[in-house]
Amino acid sequence: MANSNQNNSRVPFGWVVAFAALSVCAALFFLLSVWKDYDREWRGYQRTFREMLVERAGTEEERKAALASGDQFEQIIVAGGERVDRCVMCHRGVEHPAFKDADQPFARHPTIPPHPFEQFGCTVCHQGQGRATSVQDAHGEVAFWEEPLLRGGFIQASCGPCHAGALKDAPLIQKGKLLYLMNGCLACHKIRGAGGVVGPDLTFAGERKKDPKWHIEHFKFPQKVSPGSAMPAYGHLKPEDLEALTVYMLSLRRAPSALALAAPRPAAGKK
Amino acid sequence: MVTESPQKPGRGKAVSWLRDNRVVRSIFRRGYPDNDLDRAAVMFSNFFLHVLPARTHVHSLKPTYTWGLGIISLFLFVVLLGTGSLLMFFYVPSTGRAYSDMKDLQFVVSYGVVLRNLHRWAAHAMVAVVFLHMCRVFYTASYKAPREFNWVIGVLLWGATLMMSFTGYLLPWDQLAYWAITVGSSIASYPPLVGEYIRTLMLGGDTVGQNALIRFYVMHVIVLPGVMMILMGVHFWRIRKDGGLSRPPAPPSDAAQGEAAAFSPHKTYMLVELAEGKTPMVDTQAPEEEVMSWPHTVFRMLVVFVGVVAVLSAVAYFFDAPLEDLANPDHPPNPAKAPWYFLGLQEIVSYSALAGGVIVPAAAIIGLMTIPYVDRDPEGQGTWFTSGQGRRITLWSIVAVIPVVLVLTWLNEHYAVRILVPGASQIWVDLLNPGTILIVLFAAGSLYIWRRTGSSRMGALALYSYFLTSYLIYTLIGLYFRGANWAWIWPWQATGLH
Repeated sequence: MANSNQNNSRVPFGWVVAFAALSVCAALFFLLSVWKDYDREWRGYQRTFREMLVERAGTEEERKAALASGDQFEQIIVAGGERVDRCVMCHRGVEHPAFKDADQPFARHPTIPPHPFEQFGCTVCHQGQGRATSVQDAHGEVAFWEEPLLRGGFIQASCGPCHAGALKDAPLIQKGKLLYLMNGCLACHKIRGAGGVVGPDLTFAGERKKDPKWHIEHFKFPQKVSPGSAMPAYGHLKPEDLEALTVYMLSLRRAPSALALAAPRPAAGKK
Repeated sequence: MVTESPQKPGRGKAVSWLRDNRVVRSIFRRGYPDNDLDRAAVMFSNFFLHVLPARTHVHSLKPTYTWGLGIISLFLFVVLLGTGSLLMFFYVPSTGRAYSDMKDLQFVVSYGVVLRNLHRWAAHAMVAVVFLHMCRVFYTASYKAPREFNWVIGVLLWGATLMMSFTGYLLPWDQLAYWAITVGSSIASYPPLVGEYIRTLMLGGDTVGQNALIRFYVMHVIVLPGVMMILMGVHFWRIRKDGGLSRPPAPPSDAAQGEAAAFSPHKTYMLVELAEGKTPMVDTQAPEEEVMSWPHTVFRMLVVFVGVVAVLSAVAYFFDAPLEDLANPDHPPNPAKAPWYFLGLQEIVSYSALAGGVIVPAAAIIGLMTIPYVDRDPEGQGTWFTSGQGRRITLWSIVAVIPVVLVLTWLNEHYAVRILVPGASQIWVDLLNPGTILIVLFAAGSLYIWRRTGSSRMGALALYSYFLTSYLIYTLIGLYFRGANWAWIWPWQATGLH
């Protein structure tokens, strides 16, 4: 140790270069990750909404308040967290009177009096993925999510679980039920104890498959989505009839347990 | 010992104050080591560095000798501890919440996605790197005396790593997790008599449910990391006590001629080095073959650490950790596959549950643990594949196993016991299937090479290469060539790979 070898005290230059290069690389991906985490889709929608809010402001005070509002995190917690709906992160106009005529995603939601948002949330009727905060994920139109957003007439299916009998705003359920009876589905399938035993019991058909596209495809080509099935094809029915049948199928599910829990509470809370 | 470092020209007062104020000096007592005395002192006075020697043999620093695999495993473990601790803040091991917590990590927790990605990919990388490290140690014959028991500890660490990955696999509570653990735990239930007990102990019941989730969680975050940290401590301690990393024996010199001649006039000795028993550092090392660990070893380790972080953060940036549907006990995916490192076993289980669940894993673990006690002659230590002959035997063992495995798999497809004799007893299926036949062939092949060459090391090289290659082939078959009902498919026909 006495012969202190000073020229041996430096690490080879190649290792210094490797250290520099790898550090730059690590720092680069660190910064990229920070940016990726910050740059979320919902921020863009909130920015657009803010601009629209400024445009539609009636008074100078409203305009100032709109300008001052920053990006906000918002969610509706239903039944103590069993459902968490973050749709309002982007759909900012759902309750705003000034957005009655606005297009999606900022359109105002029509009021359906006994269904307050704070208590029901959104996905209980619309399906989709409530916890998600990016468009495709939230609409549930991604792999590994079984409940895509119910678009167009299919939304009527959501009234079924709670509202038995004919509903004037959801005529497709009734139409589908009629088609079900007229086309003899009853011969093979059982619903609430009535019907044949050749095919599966359909009492909770809407809980097994929640994607309207699956049902339409299944009516047209049963064996394609359910290999080995003995069901005859119903492709000869009119498209609107298949849609009504699908609505009826989707409506066959139990009332959401989240709502049963939430009902006695005055408000389940909104953060 | 405390020397005031001389004020270098060109350095301002501020710099020297930053370096030499009371607080900094209370933490780093000696200041920056700029002479060999301080460079040695920093190694044994710093808690984190004292596991390393003050001087390192140049052979241990050769990248092509170790490929840095051991230290990379350690750094992956450190990354996993860090990311894992943070993930624990956002995860509740309850069947009702676990999957929602995954979704919240993805959609609302700041840096939740990158944390989960880093943790997932680092875990897969650690399974692979620990295994490669074991291959390095094997092929350089580093398990030989005096390192036999450290090899055994290494095998235990490899097992603990697999268990860490396996227990973590369940936690997201999605279909992928649920069914992989269902398949994996059923492999563990195949040993006769004790199998069902093992599975019940593991799952806290017959099926994967809340009991299994909390057991896997506690094993994953407390028990196994604790066990691994203790085993790692012992593993590293023994490396020091055994004279550092393995290397070829030094050419005979006057320094190695018995105890008395071991003294070198160029070295200083402490009292412990004069005590009974030899100190491996002294009798094999000449000062000119060593460099100061500070900065040579420490800086290289730093570079490897930055490299691990850089590669992991790049992978975590581009590839998201998988998350499938919520676990559904009523809807098994077809095929349900175990985690990739158990797919080789699952493939053999498809021939015979006893072979894949008991015979093959038992043979592998017993074989690995006993190798240093069977192959005892010190030949070839510290040299990749020992010799030119060893290199040829390794290569040809790998090449020869490929057709053997493929032919046996084909034979099993067309002329399996139950195809030839439909009512054959299960005993015949368990005795005559690719798994057991391969074990017999491997034993025979390596014994033949041992006798033919007269070297147990050559036999060991062949045996290890047989196992390595065949397990790799079965893993690839399980991963890419098995579809619904475990039928043959081509990789591009696969629907739900993971």
